[in-house]
Amino acid sequence: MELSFNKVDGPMIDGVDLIQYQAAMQSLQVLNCLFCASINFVESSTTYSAPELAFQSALSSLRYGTLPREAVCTENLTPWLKLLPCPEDFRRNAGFELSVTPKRVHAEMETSSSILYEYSIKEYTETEQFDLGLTWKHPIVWYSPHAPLYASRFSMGSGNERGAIAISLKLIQGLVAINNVKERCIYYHTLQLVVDERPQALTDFVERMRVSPSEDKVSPGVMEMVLQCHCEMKSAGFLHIDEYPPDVNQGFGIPSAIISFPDFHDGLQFSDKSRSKSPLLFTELLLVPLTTPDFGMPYNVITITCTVFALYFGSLLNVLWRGVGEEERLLKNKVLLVAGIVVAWQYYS
Amino acid sequence: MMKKKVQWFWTWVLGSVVLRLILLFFPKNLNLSSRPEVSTPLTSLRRLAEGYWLKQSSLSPYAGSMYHGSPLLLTLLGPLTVRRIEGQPDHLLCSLVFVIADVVSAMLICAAGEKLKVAYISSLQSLGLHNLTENSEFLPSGDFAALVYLWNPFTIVACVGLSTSAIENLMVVLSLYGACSRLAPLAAFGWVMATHLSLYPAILIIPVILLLGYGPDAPPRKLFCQRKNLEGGNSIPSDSCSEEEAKNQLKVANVFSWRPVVLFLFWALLWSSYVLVLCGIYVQQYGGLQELFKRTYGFILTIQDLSPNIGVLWYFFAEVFDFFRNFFLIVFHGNILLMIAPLALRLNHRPCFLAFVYIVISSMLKSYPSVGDSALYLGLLGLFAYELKDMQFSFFLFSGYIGVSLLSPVMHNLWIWRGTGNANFYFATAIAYVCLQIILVVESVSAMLNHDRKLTKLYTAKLQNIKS
Repeated sequence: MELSFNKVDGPMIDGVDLIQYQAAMQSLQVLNCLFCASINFVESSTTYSAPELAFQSALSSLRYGTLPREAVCTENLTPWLKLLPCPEDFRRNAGFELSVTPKRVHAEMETSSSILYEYSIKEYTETEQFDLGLTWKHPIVWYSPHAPLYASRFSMGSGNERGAIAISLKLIQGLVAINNVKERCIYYHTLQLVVDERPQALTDFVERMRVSPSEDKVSPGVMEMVLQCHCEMKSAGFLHIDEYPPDVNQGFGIPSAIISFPDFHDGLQFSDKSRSKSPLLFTELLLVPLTTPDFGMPYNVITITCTVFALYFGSLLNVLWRGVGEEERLLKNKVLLVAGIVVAWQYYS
Repeated sequence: MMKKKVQWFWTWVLGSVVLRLILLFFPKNLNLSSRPEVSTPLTSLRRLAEGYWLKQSSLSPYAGSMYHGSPLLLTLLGPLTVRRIEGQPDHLLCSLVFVIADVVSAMLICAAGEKLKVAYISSLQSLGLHNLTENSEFLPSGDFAALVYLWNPFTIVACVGLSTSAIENLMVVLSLYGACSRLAPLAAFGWVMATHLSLYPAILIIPVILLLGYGPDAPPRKLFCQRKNLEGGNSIPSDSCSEEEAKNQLKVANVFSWRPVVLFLFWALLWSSYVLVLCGIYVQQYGGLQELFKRTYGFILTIQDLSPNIGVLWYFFAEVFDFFRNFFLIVFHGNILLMIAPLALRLNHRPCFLAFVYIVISSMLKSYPSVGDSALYLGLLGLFAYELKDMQFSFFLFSGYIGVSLLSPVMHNLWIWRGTGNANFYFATAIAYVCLQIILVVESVSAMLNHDRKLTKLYTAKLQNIKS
């Protein structure tokens, strides 16, 4: 399980990402308390998906979920930091090596786990200056001098109806892109591929593509493919009043798109070689305005609609019944006529 | 005179086709395929294209929440959605299919109108009411209804806006034409396909059976019984030949013939089995027929999609609390079934008009209505122009339909695009539209019953004259 808190520049500043396997689903409540975040919301099947290509994982039980609206603060880490173990022998640090031995080492055990190294400057003169070297015991090797890709995702269009989600990629290497969309708001057949501002056929550039359309209240929509794409979006969806977020005018947050590089390996090299994996690049969060009903109208809508239905039923039944009454009067006249005929026949016979 | 009439009729037909073709080549200005009045979750061609794309991607066409229509329609129209001609608007071939469907529907309405008129004149003459048939007001109602259907702005908007309701309307009109012509296989095919496409035409089985059994629309049946009694009472030896003819006509007019009905039920069963087998073959790797019914008819009956349309149920079920949702679903769907028996008892001598009333009621109360449904019943209304000429509130209804047609896009624009209005604006036009349809159905039934009472009075007066 991997848990990350991201602070991304954009309209949605914070977000919580959670990559876990299905067996760890029961741990979400514990993580929820431990990190002071609404991680238990990821339990709902509408918030996590099962990508296959982006994370280079052979396990079929991989699940990926995000909470784009969750605000992130240092307080999220406070209960967790309190549980971290203190180094047993702080003189011999496991991470780095000091070139000058400190005179005294203070460990603040009661309040936090920080360590204070104390040096005396009086022993040094202008000719023999104080020089402290800090050396990592494990060397860090950066494979790439600069990022191989610049990624940006933005929404296009105007109004609340017609629009598009565009992901722009530059200096493309081999990569796998995933966009996790929560609501039914994507027409996947309108997917367009633009290379150097010219439309191209999908089959020329896309090696693999996997689409899982979103279904209302059941599962999010996931599209995994190679290279850039441009999908046409309809709207953020029309929801029941119970399904809107608390602040509807802020809009709906669409989680970040993930870009991974299968041909690259992570820049950091740890002593444990088995942790090598592809780096992940996250785009901005998208904020899509929601189309809202009037939340003060449930009673009015119910009464007006039921009145209209009662008007229809009553009027139509009245029209049908009115003729029946008239026919009964005609029948009564006929009965009286027959009775008169009988009386006359009796009289004249 | 007849040649002039025929030429006049076909000139107007060609004019409507030319108008549609002109509108088809200006799609970017109109953009009607995304209007909520035209495209519903069931009739949107864009959702059909999405379903076809999912099918081509080895997924179920019903994956996600997009496509909820017929797999047969997907098979027929799906390949046309991906075939783009260079330099032409999108979905051009589908648009041409819808134009052809509109023209064929109009031709069938015209032919059914002719049969209705001939049968009605024959009925009036057999009752001795000759002066009514000689009246100049007796229009060629078939031609009139066909032109009303073709030139109705709702039909044109539904056709240009890429709505598959043109296909559904064609199937409904096909079943009515087959029933009017006593062609049981054709009526069964139309009824089965219409029910398969949108579920609500299932209630048309009652007028179709009445049409096949009793024949087309006629005056009230008791008038023929009175005439039979009168003919039986009088014995005039000099007119024995005409008496036999009158008795034969009475037999034909009164008896419910079961043979066409049994034939219709047999063919309906045959076509239903065939359609179910085809659908089963299509969706056997995507959950089978049970999943298909859940995605299509279950979607209709449970009103899962709360996108706005010109009905009132989308806003009702967006606002109603979840606890009462099932209760109101049963109430609103029961309202369609509740009026079937009273209308059938009262209007069984006029099966075609009964079908028209059923179509108005279902288009008013269905889950996802659109202007294509209005186009159908406004076209069929032209068939009864003679009987309904005394209908009240005609001008009010005409003005109301124009007003709602103009206000609905304005309210939608204020809500969705400009943000100066809210959902209640659009809901208000939907309420007004439903009220207009209620007035239309109530006043048309009232006018038809008044017409029958007028015939009864005329015939009673004629009988009085004969006796005196």
